[in-house]
Amino acid sequence: MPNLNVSDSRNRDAVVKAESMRRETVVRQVDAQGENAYTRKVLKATIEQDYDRLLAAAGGKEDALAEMLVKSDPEIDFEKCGLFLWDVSRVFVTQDEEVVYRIEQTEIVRNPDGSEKERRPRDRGESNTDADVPLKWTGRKVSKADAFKRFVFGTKLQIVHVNGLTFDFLYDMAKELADEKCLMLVGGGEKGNEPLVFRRGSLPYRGFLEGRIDGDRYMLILHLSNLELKKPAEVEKAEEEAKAVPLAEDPKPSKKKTKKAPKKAAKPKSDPTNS
Amino acid sequence: MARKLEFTFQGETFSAAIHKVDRTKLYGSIDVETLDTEGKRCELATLANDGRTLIPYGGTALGYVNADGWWVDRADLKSVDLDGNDLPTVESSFSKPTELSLKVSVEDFLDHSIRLCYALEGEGVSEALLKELSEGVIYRIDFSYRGGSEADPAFVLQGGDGTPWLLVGVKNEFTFLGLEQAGAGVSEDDEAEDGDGGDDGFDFEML
Repeated sequence: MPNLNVSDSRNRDAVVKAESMRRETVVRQVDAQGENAYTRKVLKATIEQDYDRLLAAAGGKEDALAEMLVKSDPEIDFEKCGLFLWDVSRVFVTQDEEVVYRIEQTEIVRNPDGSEKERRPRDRGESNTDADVPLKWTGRKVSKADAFKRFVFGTKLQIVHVNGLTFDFLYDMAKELADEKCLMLVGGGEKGNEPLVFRRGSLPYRGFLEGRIDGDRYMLILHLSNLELKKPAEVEKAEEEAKAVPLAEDPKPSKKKTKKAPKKAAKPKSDPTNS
Repeated sequence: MARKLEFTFQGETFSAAIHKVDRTKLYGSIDVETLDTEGKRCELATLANDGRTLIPYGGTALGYVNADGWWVDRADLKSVDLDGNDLPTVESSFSKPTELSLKVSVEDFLDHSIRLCYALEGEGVSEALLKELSEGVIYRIDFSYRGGSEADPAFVLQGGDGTPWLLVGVKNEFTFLGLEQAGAGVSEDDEAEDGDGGDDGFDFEML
Protein backbone atom coordinates (compact mmCIF):
# COMPACT_ATOMS: atom_id res chain seq x y z
CA MET A 1 0.00 0.00 0.00
CA PRO A 2 1.58 3.28 -1.04
CA ASN A 3 1.76 6.22 1.35
CA LEU A 4 -0.14 9.37 0.51
CA ASN A 5 0.78 12.76 1.93
CA VAL A 6 -2.46 14.72 1.58
CA SER A 7 -3.87 17.99 2.94
CA ASP A 8 -7.43 19.02 3.73
CA SER A 9 -9.39 22.24 3.26
CA ARG A 10 -7.75 23.79 6.34
CA ASN A 11 -4.31 23.07 4.91
CA ARG A 12 -3.63 20.43 7.55
CA ASP A 13 -1.69 17.49 6.15
CA ALA A 14 -1.04 13.91 7.15
CA VAL A 15 0.53 10.80 5.72
CA VAL A 16 -2.07 8.09 5.18
CA LYS A 17 -2.31 4.94 3.10
CA ALA A 18 -3.90 4.28 -0.29
CA GLU A 19 -5.23 0.81 -0.93
CA SER A 20 -6.38 -0.84 -4.13
CA MET A 21 -9.72 -2.57 -3.64
CA ARG A 22 -10.06 -4.09 -7.10
CA ARG A 23 -12.02 -7.32 -7.14
CA GLU A 24 -10.05 -10.04 -8.88
CA THR A 25 -11.75 -13.23 -9.90
CA VAL A 26 -9.51 -16.17 -9.20
CA VAL A 27 -9.63 -18.58 -12.11
CA ARG A 28 -7.73 -21.85 -12.22
CA GLN A 29 -6.90 -23.81 -15.32
CA VAL A 30 -7.22 -27.60 -14.99
CA ASP A 31 -6.49 -30.38 -17.45
CA ALA A 32 -8.77 -33.25 -18.47
CA GLN A 33 -7.93 -35.10 -15.24
CA GLY A 34 -8.84 -32.09 -13.14
CA GLU A 35 -5.23 -31.40 -12.17
CA ASN A 36 -3.96 -27.84 -11.95
CA ALA A 37 -2.13 -26.47 -14.95
CA TYR A 38 0.47 -23.74 -14.59
CA THR A 39 1.78 -21.21 -17.06
CA ARG A 40 5.44 -21.32 -17.92
CA LYS A 41 7.62 -19.14 -20.10
CA VAL A 42 9.44 -21.27 -22.64
CA LEU A 43 12.46 -20.53 -24.79
CA LYS A 44 11.82 -20.89 -28.52
CA ALA A 45 15.01 -19.59 -30.08
CA THR A 46 18.05 -17.63 -29.00
CA ILE A 47 19.80 -14.87 -30.85
CA GLU A 48 21.99 -17.50 -32.50
CA GLN A 49 18.97 -18.74 -34.45
CA ASP A 50 17.68 -15.44 -35.67
CA TYR A 51 17.62 -14.51 -39.36
CA ASP A 52 20.76 -12.35 -39.38
CA ARG A 53 22.94 -15.03 -37.76
CA LEU A 54 21.63 -17.81 -39.98
CA LEU A 55 22.12 -15.70 -43.07
CA ALA A 56 25.70 -14.97 -42.03
CA ALA A 57 26.27 -18.69 -41.52
CA ALA A 58 25.01 -19.26 -45.06
CA GLY A 59 27.55 -16.81 -46.45
CA GLY A 60 25.02 -14.02 -46.83
CA LYS A 61 23.08 -15.81 -49.55
CA GLU A 62 19.39 -16.44 -49.11
CA ASP A 63 19.40 -19.39 -51.51
CA ALA A 64 22.08 -21.05 -49.43
CA LEU A 65 20.11 -20.31 -46.29
CA ALA A 66 16.97 -21.86 -47.79
CA GLU A 67 18.94 -24.97 -48.66
CA MET A 68 20.36 -25.11 -45.14
CA LEU A 69 16.90 -24.91 -43.65
CA VAL A 70 15.64 -27.74 -45.85
CA LYS A 71 18.58 -30.08 -45.32
CA SER A 72 19.12 -29.53 -41.60
CA ASP A 73 17.48 -27.59 -38.77
CA PRO A 74 19.86 -24.73 -38.02
CA GLU A 75 16.96 -22.64 -36.74
CA ILE A 76 16.45 -24.99 -33.78
CA ASP A 77 18.89 -25.36 -30.89
CA PHE A 78 17.89 -28.79 -29.64
CA GLU A 79 19.76 -28.25 -26.38
CA LYS A 80 17.97 -25.05 -25.46
CA CYS A 81 14.65 -25.05 -27.31
CA GLY A 82 11.84 -25.74 -24.89
CA LEU A 83 13.76 -24.73 -21.75
CA PHE A 84 11.67 -23.15 -19.06
CA LEU A 85 12.77 -19.60 -18.33
CA TRP A 86 13.06 -18.20 -14.80
CA ASP A 87 14.47 -15.00 -13.40
CA VAL A 88 15.17 -13.46 -16.77
CA SER A 89 16.47 -9.95 -17.25
CA ARG A 90 15.68 -7.36 -19.87
CA VAL A 91 18.71 -5.86 -21.61
CA PHE A 92 19.34 -3.53 -24.49
CA VAL A 93 21.23 -4.84 -27.52
CA THR A 94 22.61 -3.06 -30.55
CA GLN A 95 21.75 -4.05 -34.08
CA ASP A 96 24.95 -6.14 -33.97
CA GLU A 97 23.24 -8.06 -31.15
CA GLU A 98 25.70 -7.02 -28.48
CA VAL A 99 24.62 -6.06 -25.00
CA VAL A 100 24.82 -2.34 -24.33
CA TYR A 101 25.75 -0.95 -20.95
CA ARG A 102 25.23 2.78 -21.52
CA ILE A 103 22.21 4.20 -23.28
CA GLU A 104 20.49 7.47 -24.05
CA GLN A 105 16.73 7.59 -24.40
CA THR A 106 14.66 10.06 -26.38
CA GLU A 107 10.90 10.48 -26.30
CA ILE A 108 9.20 10.79 -29.67
CA VAL A 109 5.85 12.53 -29.14
CA ARG A 110 3.30 11.58 -31.79
CA ASN A 111 0.01 13.15 -32.77
CA PRO A 112 -3.17 11.03 -32.79
CA ASP A 113 -2.62 10.41 -36.51
CA GLY A 114 0.82 8.96 -35.79
CA SER A 115 2.83 11.86 -37.21
CA GLU A 116 5.81 13.04 -35.19
CA LYS A 117 5.19 16.15 -33.13
CA GLU A 118 8.47 16.62 -31.27
CA ARG A 119 11.49 14.88 -29.83
CA ARG A 120 12.82 15.45 -26.33
CA PRO A 121 15.07 13.76 -23.80
CA ARG A 122 13.23 11.14 -21.82
CA ASP A 123 11.88 12.57 -18.59
CA ARG A 124 10.97 10.12 -15.86
CA GLY A 125 8.98 12.23 -13.47
CA GLU A 126 9.56 11.73 -9.78
CA SER A 127 6.84 10.51 -7.47
CA ASN A 128 4.94 13.32 -5.76
CA THR A 129 2.29 11.47 -3.76
CA ASP A 130 4.53 10.77 -0.77
CA ALA A 131 6.83 13.76 -1.01
CA ASP A 132 7.61 16.45 1.55
CA VAL A 133 5.05 18.69 -0.15
CA PRO A 134 1.60 17.21 0.48
CA LEU A 135 -1.03 16.84 -2.20
CA LYS A 136 -3.09 20.00 -2.21
CA TRP A 137 -6.80 20.32 -1.57
CA THR A 138 -7.28 22.58 -4.60
CA GLY A 139 -10.82 23.68 -3.84
CA ARG A 140 -11.83 22.84 -7.43
CA LYS A 141 -15.00 20.84 -7.08
CA VAL A 142 -16.86 18.85 -9.68
CA SER A 143 -20.34 17.60 -8.96
CA LYS A 144 -20.74 13.84 -9.17
CA ALA A 145 -23.40 14.36 -11.81
CA ASP A 146 -20.84 16.12 -14.02
CA ALA A 147 -17.73 14.15 -13.12
CA PHE A 148 -18.83 10.85 -14.62
CA LYS A 149 -19.76 12.61 -17.89
CA ARG A 150 -16.43 14.34 -18.30
CA PHE A 151 -13.70 12.00 -17.03
CA VAL A 152 -12.83 8.34 -17.32
CA PHE A 153 -11.70 7.03 -13.95
CA GLY A 154 -9.50 4.08 -14.82
CA THR A 155 -7.98 3.47 -11.40
CA LYS A 156 -9.32 3.98 -7.90
CA LEU A 157 -7.73 3.81 -4.49
CA GLN A 158 -9.35 3.84 -1.08
CA ILE A 159 -7.65 6.22 1.34
CA VAL A 160 -7.31 4.62 4.74
CA HIS A 161 -6.25 5.88 8.15
CA VAL A 162 -3.27 4.59 10.11
CA ASN A 163 -4.19 5.79 13.61
CA GLY A 164 -6.85 7.67 15.52
CA LEU A 165 -5.69 11.13 14.48
CA THR A 166 -5.71 10.28 10.81
CA PHE A 167 -9.13 8.67 11.27
CA ASP A 168 -10.56 12.04 12.38
CA PHE A 169 -8.62 13.80 9.61
CA LEU A 170 -9.99 11.57 6.87
CA TYR A 171 -13.48 11.36 8.36
CA ASP A 172 -13.81 15.15 8.27
CA MET A 173 -12.57 15.24 4.66
CA ALA A 174 -15.06 12.57 3.64
CA LYS A 175 -17.91 14.34 5.42
CA GLU A 176 -17.13 17.66 3.79
CA LEU A 177 -17.15 16.06 0.36
CA ALA A 178 -20.22 13.91 1.04
CA ASP A 179 -22.22 16.94 2.20
CA GLU A 180 -21.46 18.76 -1.04
CA LYS A 181 -22.00 15.67 -3.23
CA CYS A 182 -18.92 16.52 -5.21
CA LEU A 183 -15.48 15.29 -6.18
CA MET A 184 -12.50 17.43 -5.25
CA LEU A 185 -9.45 17.78 -7.48
CA VAL A 186 -6.18 17.16 -5.64
CA GLY A 187 -2.90 18.21 -7.16
CA GLY A 188 0.78 17.68 -6.55
CA GLY A 189 3.67 20.09 -6.33
CA GLU A 190 4.08 23.40 -4.53
CA LYS A 191 1.19 25.02 -6.34
CA GLY A 192 -1.02 21.95 -6.27
CA ASN A 193 -1.49 21.94 -10.03
CA GLU A 194 0.62 18.94 -11.00
CA PRO A 195 -0.83 15.52 -11.80
CA LEU A 196 -0.24 12.68 -9.36
CA VAL A 197 2.75 10.44 -10.00
CA PHE A 198 2.86 7.41 -7.73
CA ARG A 199 6.17 5.92 -8.85
CA ARG A 200 9.11 7.38 -10.70
CA GLY A 201 8.42 7.25 -14.42
CA SER A 202 4.84 6.02 -14.03
CA LEU A 203 1.84 7.52 -15.79
CA PRO A 204 0.63 10.80 -14.27
CA TYR A 205 -3.03 10.98 -13.27
CA ARG A 206 -5.48 13.66 -12.24
CA GLY A 207 -6.82 12.75 -8.82
CA PHE A 208 -10.35 13.41 -7.57
CA LEU A 209 -11.37 12.72 -3.98
CA GLU A 210 -14.85 11.44 -3.18
CA GLY A 211 -16.21 11.10 0.32
CA ARG A 212 -19.07 8.98 1.68
CA ILE A 213 -20.33 8.75 5.25
CA ASP A 214 -22.26 6.00 7.01
CA GLY A 215 -22.83 7.06 10.60
CA ASP A 216 -19.47 7.09 12.32
CA ARG A 217 -17.76 5.36 9.42
CA TYR A 218 -16.27 6.96 6.35
CA MET A 219 -15.17 6.04 2.88
CA LEU A 220 -12.68 8.22 1.03
CA ILE A 221 -11.95 7.25 -2.56
CA LEU A 222 -9.27 8.68 -4.81
CA HIS A 223 -10.45 8.47 -8.43
CA LEU A 224 -7.59 8.62 -10.92
CA SER A 225 -8.10 9.75 -14.50
CA ASN A 226 -5.86 10.32 -17.50
CA LEU A 227 -8.59 10.33 -20.13
CA GLU A 228 -11.49 12.65 -20.85
CA LEU A 229 -14.81 11.29 -22.00
CA LYS A 230 -14.97 12.80 -25.45
CA LYS A 231 -14.79 11.64 -29.03
CA PRO A 232 -11.54 12.03 -30.94
CA ALA A 233 -11.54 13.59 -34.38
CA GLU A 234 -11.14 10.25 -36.21
CA VAL A 235 -14.28 8.82 -34.61
CA GLU A 236 -16.28 11.89 -35.61
CA LYS A 237 -14.92 11.52 -39.13
CA ALA A 238 -15.90 7.84 -39.25
CA GLU A 239 -19.40 8.72 -38.10
CA GLU A 240 -19.71 11.41 -40.76
CA GLU A 241 -18.58 8.93 -43.41
CA ALA A 242 -21.08 6.37 -42.16
CA LYS A 243 -23.89 8.93 -42.38
CA ALA A 244 -22.83 9.86 -45.91
CA VAL A 245 -23.57 6.30 -47.16
CA PRO A 246 -26.83 6.32 -49.28
CA LEU A 247 -29.87 4.88 -47.51
CA ALA A 248 -30.29 2.09 -50.07
CA GLU A 249 -26.89 0.63 -49.18
CA ASP A 250 -27.24 1.04 -45.44
CA PRO A 251 -30.13 -1.03 -44.08
CA LYS A 252 -31.46 0.78 -41.02
CA PRO A 253 -32.02 -1.29 -37.90
CA SER A 254 -35.62 -2.26 -37.31
CA LYS A 255 -37.44 -0.69 -34.38
CA LYS A 256 -39.96 -3.55 -34.22
CA LYS A 257 -39.56 -6.66 -32.16
CA THR A 258 -39.45 -8.93 -35.22
CA LYS A 259 -36.02 -9.38 -36.70
CA LYS A 260 -37.10 -8.85 -40.29
CA ALA A 261 -38.85 -5.55 -40.75
CA PRO A 262 -39.99 -3.93 -43.98
CA LYS A 263 -37.60 -1.31 -45.27
CA LYS A 264 -38.70 2.22 -44.59
CA ALA A 265 -37.08 5.60 -44.45
CA ALA A 266 -35.30 6.34 -41.19
CA LYS A 267 -36.72 9.04 -38.94
CA PRO A 268 -34.74 12.24 -38.86
CA LYS A 269 -32.47 12.08 -35.86
CA SER A 270 -30.54 14.66 -33.89
CA ASP A 271 -26.78 14.61 -34.29
CA PRO A 272 -25.35 13.06 -31.10
CA THR A 273 -22.25 15.22 -31.45
CA ASN A 274 -24.29 18.33 -30.78
CA SER A 275 -24.16 19.08 -27.10
CA MET B 1 -15.75 -0.88 -40.07
CA ALA B 2 -16.94 -0.59 -36.46
CA ARG B 3 -18.78 -3.58 -35.01
CA LYS B 4 -22.40 -3.14 -34.04
CA LEU B 5 -24.05 -4.01 -30.78
CA GLU B 6 -27.78 -4.58 -30.49
CA PHE B 7 -29.72 -3.21 -27.56
CA THR B 8 -33.31 -3.61 -26.41
CA PHE B 9 -34.96 -0.71 -24.62
CA GLN B 10 -38.63 -0.65 -23.58
CA GLY B 11 -39.45 -3.28 -26.18
CA GLU B 12 -37.58 -1.63 -29.03
CA THR B 13 -34.45 -3.14 -30.52
CA PHE B 14 -31.81 -0.97 -32.12
CA SER B 15 -28.16 -1.32 -33.01
CA ALA B 16 -25.24 1.00 -32.43
CA ALA B 17 -21.72 0.94 -33.84
CA ILE B 18 -19.02 0.96 -31.16
CA HIS B 19 -15.89 3.04 -31.63
CA LYS B 20 -13.12 2.36 -29.15
CA VAL B 21 -11.59 5.50 -27.68
CA ASP B 22 -8.30 5.59 -25.82
CA ARG B 23 -5.50 8.03 -25.02
CA THR B 24 -3.68 7.38 -28.27
CA LYS B 25 -6.71 8.46 -30.32
CA LEU B 26 -7.35 11.55 -28.20
CA TYR B 27 -3.91 12.82 -27.31
CA GLY B 28 -1.39 10.85 -29.37
CA SER B 29 1.37 8.70 -27.96
CA ILE B 30 4.98 8.68 -26.86
CA ASP B 31 7.55 6.25 -28.25
CA VAL B 32 10.90 5.85 -26.58
CA GLU B 33 13.96 5.59 -28.81
CA THR B 34 17.05 4.08 -27.23
CA LEU B 35 20.52 4.77 -28.60
CA ASP B 36 23.95 3.66 -27.50
CA THR B 37 26.86 6.07 -27.05
CA GLU B 38 27.63 5.85 -30.78
CA GLY B 39 24.13 6.86 -31.72
CA LYS B 40 23.08 3.40 -32.92
CA ARG B 41 19.55 2.28 -32.22
CA CYS B 42 19.11 -0.38 -29.53
CA GLU B 43 16.36 -2.87 -28.94
CA LEU B 44 15.19 -4.79 -25.94
CA ALA B 45 16.11 -8.44 -25.59
CA THR B 46 15.84 -11.03 -22.85
CA LEU B 47 18.85 -12.35 -20.99
CA ALA B 48 18.34 -15.83 -19.53
CA ASN B 49 19.32 -16.51 -15.93
CA ASP B 50 22.59 -18.11 -17.08
CA GLY B 51 23.76 -14.58 -17.87
CA ARG B 52 24.88 -15.60 -21.37
CA THR B 53 21.90 -16.65 -23.46
CA LEU B 54 20.35 -13.75 -25.32
CA ILE B 55 16.79 -14.17 -26.54
CA PRO B 56 15.46 -11.72 -29.12
CA TYR B 57 11.91 -10.39 -29.40
CA GLY B 58 9.65 -13.31 -30.32
CA GLY B 59 12.05 -15.90 -28.93
CA THR B 60 9.86 -16.89 -26.01
CA ALA B 61 6.43 -18.45 -25.68
CA LEU B 62 3.94 -19.08 -22.90
CA GLY B 63 2.51 -22.51 -22.35
CA TYR B 64 0.77 -24.67 -19.77
CA VAL B 65 2.27 -27.61 -17.89
CA ASN B 66 0.70 -29.89 -15.31
CA ALA B 67 2.10 -30.62 -11.85
CA ASP B 68 4.43 -33.26 -13.30
CA GLY B 69 5.86 -30.83 -15.80
CA TRP B 70 4.19 -32.34 -18.86
CA TRP B 71 2.97 -30.01 -21.56
CA VAL B 72 -0.81 -29.49 -21.70
CA ASP B 73 -2.53 -28.22 -24.82
CA ARG B 74 -4.62 -25.13 -24.33
CA ALA B 75 -7.59 -26.85 -25.97
CA ASP B 76 -7.57 -29.48 -23.20
CA LEU B 77 -7.82 -26.90 -20.41
CA LYS B 78 -10.92 -25.94 -18.51
CA SER B 79 -11.51 -22.86 -16.35
CA VAL B 80 -12.72 -23.47 -12.80
CA ASP B 81 -13.01 -21.41 -9.64
CA LEU B 82 -10.96 -21.91 -6.47
CA ASP B 83 -13.26 -24.75 -5.34
CA GLY B 84 -12.99 -26.54 -8.66
CA ASN B 85 -16.48 -25.68 -9.85
CA ASP B 86 -16.96 -25.00 -13.53
CA LEU B 87 -17.25 -21.33 -14.30
CA PRO B 88 -20.41 -20.35 -16.10
CA THR B 89 -19.77 -19.49 -19.72
CA VAL B 90 -21.23 -16.39 -21.29
CA GLU B 91 -21.94 -15.63 -24.92
CA SER B 92 -20.43 -12.75 -26.78
CA SER B 93 -22.48 -9.58 -26.41
CA PHE B 94 -22.53 -9.37 -30.20
CA SER B 95 -24.53 -12.61 -30.51
CA LYS B 96 -27.84 -11.26 -29.23
CA PRO B 97 -29.46 -7.97 -28.12
CA THR B 98 -28.63 -6.68 -24.64
CA GLU B 99 -31.49 -5.36 -22.59
CA LEU B 100 -31.15 -1.91 -21.04
CA SER B 101 -33.29 -2.08 -17.94
CA LEU B 102 -31.07 -1.94 -14.87
CA LYS B 103 -30.50 1.62 -13.68
CA VAL B 104 -27.71 2.27 -11.21
CA SER B 105 -26.73 5.25 -9.08
CA VAL B 106 -23.71 7.45 -9.67
CA GLU B 107 -22.06 5.90 -6.62
CA ASP B 108 -22.52 2.39 -8.03
CA PHE B 109 -20.91 3.56 -11.25
CA LEU B 110 -18.07 5.29 -9.39
CA ASP B 111 -17.35 2.00 -7.59
CA HIS B 112 -15.99 0.66 -10.88
CA SER B 113 -12.63 1.28 -12.53
CA ILE B 114 -13.24 1.84 -16.22
CA ARG B 115 -10.84 -0.03 -18.50
CA LEU B 116 -12.49 0.34 -21.94
CA CYS B 117 -14.45 3.18 -23.53
CA TYR B 118 -16.64 2.82 -26.61
CA ALA B 119 -18.48 5.73 -28.21
CA LEU B 120 -21.86 4.54 -29.46
CA GLU B 121 -23.12 5.69 -32.81
CA GLY B 122 -26.29 4.65 -34.50
CA GLU B 123 -29.03 6.23 -36.49
CA GLY B 124 -31.64 4.09 -34.81
CA VAL B 125 -30.79 4.75 -31.18
CA SER B 126 -34.06 5.03 -29.25
CA GLU B 127 -35.21 8.61 -28.64
CA ALA B 128 -36.62 7.61 -25.28
CA LEU B 129 -33.26 6.17 -24.30
CA LEU B 130 -31.38 9.28 -25.39
CA LYS B 131 -33.75 11.41 -23.35
CA GLU B 132 -33.14 9.33 -20.23
CA LEU B 133 -29.41 9.34 -20.74
CA SER B 134 -29.44 13.13 -21.13
CA GLU B 135 -31.06 13.32 -17.69
CA GLY B 136 -28.09 11.51 -16.16
CA VAL B 137 -29.51 7.99 -16.04
CA ILE B 138 -26.87 5.24 -16.09
CA TYR B 139 -27.74 1.75 -17.28
CA ARG B 140 -25.73 -1.30 -16.24
CA ILE B 141 -25.25 -4.35 -18.45
CA ASP B 142 -22.99 -7.40 -18.60
CA PHE B 143 -20.55 -7.20 -21.50
CA SER B 144 -18.33 -9.83 -23.03
CA TYR B 145 -16.58 -9.06 -26.31
CA ARG B 146 -15.69 -12.62 -27.30
CA GLY B 147 -17.65 -14.73 -24.83
CA GLY B 148 -15.90 -16.82 -22.23
CA SER B 149 -15.98 -17.54 -18.55
CA GLU B 150 -17.08 -14.18 -17.23
CA ALA B 151 -18.79 -11.04 -18.42
CA ASP B 152 -17.58 -7.62 -17.32
CA PRO B 153 -19.81 -4.99 -15.78
CA ALA B 154 -20.46 -2.24 -18.32
CA PHE B 155 -22.44 0.98 -18.30
CA VAL B 156 -24.38 2.92 -20.92
CA LEU B 157 -24.48 6.64 -20.21
CA GLN B 158 -24.22 9.99 -21.94
CA GLY B 159 -21.07 12.09 -21.98
CA GLY B 160 -20.85 15.82 -21.53
CA ASP B 161 -21.01 16.39 -25.30
CA GLY B 162 -24.19 14.36 -25.70
CA THR B 163 -22.48 11.24 -27.04
CA PRO B 164 -23.79 7.93 -25.70
CA TRP B 165 -21.00 5.76 -24.34
CA LEU B 166 -20.46 2.14 -23.39
CA LEU B 167 -17.90 1.96 -20.58
CA VAL B 168 -16.54 -1.44 -19.50
CA GLY B 169 -15.21 -1.68 -15.97
CA VAL B 170 -14.00 -3.72 -13.04
CA LYS B 171 -15.70 -3.62 -9.66
CA ASN B 172 -13.87 -2.32 -6.59
CA GLU B 173 -14.79 -3.58 -3.14
CA PHE B 174 -14.76 -0.32 -1.20
CA THR B 175 -15.79 -0.56 2.45
CA PHE B 176 -16.76 1.95 5.11
CA LEU B 177 -14.11 2.25 7.80
CA GLY B 178 -14.67 2.87 11.47
CA LEU B 179 -12.13 3.91 14.05
CA GLU B 180 -11.68 0.36 15.29
CA GLN B 181 -10.90 -0.92 11.84
CA ALA B 182 -7.24 -0.28 11.24
CA GLY B 183 -7.21 0.89 7.66
CA ALA B 184 -3.60 -0.02 7.13
CA GLY B 185 -1.28 -2.51 8.79
CA VAL B 186 1.12 -1.02 11.28
CA SER B 187 4.73 -1.83 10.43
CA GLU B 188 6.59 -4.11 12.77
CA ASP B 189 9.00 -1.31 13.63
CA ASP B 190 6.18 0.70 15.13
CA GLU B 191 4.85 -2.08 17.30
CA ALA B 192 5.92 -2.07 20.90
CA GLU B 193 7.91 -5.17 21.68
CA ASP B 194 6.65 -7.46 24.37
CA GLY B 195 8.93 -6.90 27.29
CA ASP B 196 9.55 -8.77 30.47
CA GLY B 197 8.49 -5.83 32.55
CA GLY B 198 6.75 -7.75 35.23
CA ASP B 199 3.11 -7.67 36.21
CA ASP B 200 2.94 -3.89 36.75
CA GLY B 201 4.07 -3.27 33.11
CA PHE B 202 7.28 -1.46 34.00
CA ASP B 203 10.40 -2.67 32.29
CA PHE B 204 13.21 -2.44 34.82
CA GLU B 205 15.67 -4.12 32.53
CA MET B 206 16.07 -0.91 30.56
CA LEU B 207 17.37 0.89 33.66
